[in-house]
Amino acid sequence: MNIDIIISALQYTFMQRALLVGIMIAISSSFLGIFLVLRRYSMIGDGLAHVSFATVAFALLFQQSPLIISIPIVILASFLILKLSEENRIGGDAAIGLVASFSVALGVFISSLAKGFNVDLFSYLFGSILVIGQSDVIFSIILSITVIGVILFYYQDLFALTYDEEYAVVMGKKPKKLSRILAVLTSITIVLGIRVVGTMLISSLIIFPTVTALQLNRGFKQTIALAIIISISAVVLGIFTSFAFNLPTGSTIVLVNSAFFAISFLIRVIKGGN
Amino acid sequence: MSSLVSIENVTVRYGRFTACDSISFEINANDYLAIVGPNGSGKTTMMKTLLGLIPISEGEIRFSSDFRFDQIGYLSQKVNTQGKHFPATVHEIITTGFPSSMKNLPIKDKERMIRSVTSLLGIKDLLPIRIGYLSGGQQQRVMLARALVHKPKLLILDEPTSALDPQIRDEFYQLVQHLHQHEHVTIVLISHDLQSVSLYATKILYLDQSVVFFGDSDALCESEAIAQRIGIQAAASLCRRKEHEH
Repeated sequence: MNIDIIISALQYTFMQRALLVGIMIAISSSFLGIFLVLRRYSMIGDGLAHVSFATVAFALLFQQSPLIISIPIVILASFLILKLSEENRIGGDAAIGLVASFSVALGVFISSLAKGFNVDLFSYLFGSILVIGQSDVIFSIILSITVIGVILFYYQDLFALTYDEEYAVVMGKKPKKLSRILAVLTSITIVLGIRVVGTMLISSLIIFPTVTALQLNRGFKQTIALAIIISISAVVLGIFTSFAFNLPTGSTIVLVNSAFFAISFLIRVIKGGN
Repeated sequence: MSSLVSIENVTVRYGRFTACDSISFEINANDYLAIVGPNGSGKTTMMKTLLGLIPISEGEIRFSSDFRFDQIGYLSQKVNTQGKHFPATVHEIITTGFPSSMKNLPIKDKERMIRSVTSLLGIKDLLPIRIGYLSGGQQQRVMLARALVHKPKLLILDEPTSALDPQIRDEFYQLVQHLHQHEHVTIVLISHDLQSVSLYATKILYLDQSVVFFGDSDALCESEAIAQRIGIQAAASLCRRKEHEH
């Protein structure tokens, strides 16, 4: 891939939009990732991505905007997962499994009811940068800035809760409120990301950059900064690579992220880190 | 002596099991109170009730009018709860000790308080180091710095030496003694080690679901109830150690 391909790629409006939306999602998902991964909530992103599959099918059935329909429903589903997790009889992983499998079944059921939008649905399953519209770009920028702003506002509380929940409670933090805020932010990020990498791969944008950065043994803020740099690099490299070699964008981004993880893991092992 | 906290007939139940049964005592300003008792005696339940982590089934806990809940510092028996791989520096960990009520305090004031407490505890040089790289004794000092950074009036310590070796344990007790005598922090120390804490504490609360003994530590070795619980020889040993201290 040479500089000419990059320059020619940037001439296309869809590439400009994909890069802009991709970078915004890369920042918000990796910023959010450290709190979800360290609190053992990584799979909530995966569960909510399954829910977004059902909401996209529902939106396409009624010819509505998938983003606008999906965000409130996915937020409600995240609250349902938290509520079920708080029940002593149902663990967090089982709660995610219940909601995710129900949602996929519902999505398949809806898509079988209305034949004709399966091609559109496929583009949401694995992402398609060709279909990112002007409104998607504006929507993504506003919501990504909102997600980042809310995390910055609650940063100290979220960090305290992530390190030691019991102590955070003694210091007057509100774990239930903060968990719900995290759930809302995760829901928004998941829905925004399905345009670029699709419902099946969006959770990787939350997990991979954080886990890659964690291999490098830094402090909390430095780990977040590294995760954001890794995430933006993977998205930009993935989008250009997919353009240059005519590859599916979502899976290329995830494979670049996987390569970054493999490299950082090897660096840690070679350096003898534990 | 003014009472900071009054615990009045507090009962805590988990389902049908009564962990604390009608417990009453007072914590006065500048007390060094040790809450002791065997495993399962309700010590930790009592402490968590004081911290508002466990709801009370019956009774009442009253704080004095000039004492706020955010003036409590707390040191858990779990040192570095997240293990050695957690990505945080000592500085970042200590910042979690600021209560929500101090959220709007300027950063430079918070930094000054962090420098002050880390100088007091001799861990200033550790600030940029990851918590997981420190020894058990150093991690315990970091946790103590977190508990003290907001300058609490009342410091609650839950079995703080259970993970430390004997030499570091003695150093830790001396550090707490220094905080009590020179920084005028009221101490509540939960322990199962009656012999050690009776040397430092000014008051003892011996629990076994209900109150077995509550009073000055000097009167402990003369208590018949204590002698019955721990045995006459152990009680006599307490008396000898107390006399030796005096």
